[in-house]
Amino acid sequence: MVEEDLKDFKLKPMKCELNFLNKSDGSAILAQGETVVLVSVNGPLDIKSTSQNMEKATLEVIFSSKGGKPTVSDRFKENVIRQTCETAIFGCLYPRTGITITIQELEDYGGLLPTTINCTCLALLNSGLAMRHVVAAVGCALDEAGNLIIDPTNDQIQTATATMYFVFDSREKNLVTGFSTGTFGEGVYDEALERCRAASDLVFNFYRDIVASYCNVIG
Amino acid sequence: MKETIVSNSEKAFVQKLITSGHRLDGRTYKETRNHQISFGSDYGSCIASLGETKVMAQVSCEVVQPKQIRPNEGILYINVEVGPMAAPQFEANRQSDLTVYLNRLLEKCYKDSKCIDLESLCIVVEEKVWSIRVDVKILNHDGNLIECASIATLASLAHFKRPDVTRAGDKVIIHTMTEKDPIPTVLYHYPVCLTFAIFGSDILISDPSYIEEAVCMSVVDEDNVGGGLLVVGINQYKEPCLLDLTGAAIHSVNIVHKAILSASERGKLIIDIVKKSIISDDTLRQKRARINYKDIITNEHRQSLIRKELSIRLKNFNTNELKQESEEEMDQDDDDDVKIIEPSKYDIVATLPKTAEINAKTGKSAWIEISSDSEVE
Repeated sequence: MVEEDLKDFKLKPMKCELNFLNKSDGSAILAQGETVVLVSVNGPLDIKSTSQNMEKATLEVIFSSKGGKPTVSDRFKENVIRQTCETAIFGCLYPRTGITITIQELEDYGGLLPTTINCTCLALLNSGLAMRHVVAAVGCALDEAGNLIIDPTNDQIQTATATMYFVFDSREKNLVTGFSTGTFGEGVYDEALERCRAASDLVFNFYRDIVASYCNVIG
Repeated sequence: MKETIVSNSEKAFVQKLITSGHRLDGRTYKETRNHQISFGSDYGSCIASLGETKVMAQVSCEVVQPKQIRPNEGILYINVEVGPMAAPQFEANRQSDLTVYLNRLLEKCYKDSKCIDLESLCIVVEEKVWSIRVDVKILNHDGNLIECASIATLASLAHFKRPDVTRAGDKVIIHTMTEKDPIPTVLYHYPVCLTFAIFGSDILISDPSYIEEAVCMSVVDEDNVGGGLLVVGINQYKEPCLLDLTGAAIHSVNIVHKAILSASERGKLIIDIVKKSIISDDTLRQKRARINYKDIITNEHRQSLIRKELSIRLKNFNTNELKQESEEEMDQDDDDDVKIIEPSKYDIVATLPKTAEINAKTGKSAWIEISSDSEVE
């Protein structure tokens, strides 16, 4: 009984390189499993006076898919990322300026949006912008048999009855953003939330390791 | 953001350095930066890098109606995008002079030189042809964009394979990659664009970096007005197929000759690199190796990290339990908790699918049922 209750969960292997682009203020390329995303951050920049905000930095997010024309789902992703980053970036330190986040999808084998959010966070860390907290996104899928799968593969996503994605902050592990597809019960959602919250620790540790590998003060 | 201006002292220094026979990064006049081409998992997807300049190209295809004047030819469409990822001074989704310039040069090099067999892209005359679209995305702008973009375009076009098509009467069947082997694009010749920066009246520098490009396009002092960028398009047979000069007028004809001679040598090398990388990629694919962009992340970089094992042991959470307990208690010992935990809905589902989910819900859903009944009444 006890053995059954404790289960091993695995996140897909993560590969990351910071400062991939030398012209941007901060950039990161992240591979989670087969999904690869490249993000560049520029800021704080001088922007048009019409889009300036007296209180905080104006955030601009540009998502560009691998090929072809931009679609509505690209706009949705931009929106999710902008709202997530607006809570994470300490924008009031940079009033009347703009911060541009440019995202380039390189490979999409499921879980593109969580990978994009994690990669954006790494690029923000690399750019040196002041942040309230870092964020980590973890996804999970509910398969037909009713099992919850953390960090599902592409096939698992295709056959799943529901997918849920959560973004947590690093300080209180509070939910920052959540989005889902498909139908599921309230209890399933709560369980998925708790599991992903625990799994987000791995992502935060990954962030810490990568910064510690070149930053002696933290390591 | 406005472009960072190159200061007068920088200009003077670079100018002086080059006239004395040296370059900022220690290369000789004819030396180029390192070429690297990596392919993605799809056919016709590649990232070319030239030193720090990085360009991504992605080829896609669709069936469209042909143009009326050329009813038996396919369509090649090249689209260049320069966003803020390349450098902060570029704005997103806006046509700038640079994008138009790059687009036009690439079109001249690949469309107007007729390197692609457009007639082979025809399916039904006047009705259906393949339209091949090349999306070129500038990832990092560190000088000599056109050369890097042309390498990326050439590599992706040569790498691209379109799905096979069969005609059955009036019907056209497009086969998926698993049904029939896809067909590679036919390239008559491999043209590539090479950039030379002209300094003074007779110095030619191949593969200029960002600062060298900026300096050679600007006038430092009144007597020294020569200087500009010369783009030479050349194929593997050493035939020039494109010449483009921006900046000041050229004083002597010899400099163009010199550029073409040097370009034919350098072009051959680059085309060989492109061909070799495509062949090696093809043999890897035949061995069913998974090619993916994740391979460009290496451990050699100082700021890179690769983690293979990311595993976590989680117990089956009970959400009711969590509300009463703090997080630390939850992480401690599970043995005691497990006995108290009422089997959550999730646990039951694992043993008995679907129906169990409803059974566990009865307590709550009873209320809903009553309410629905009352509505009916």
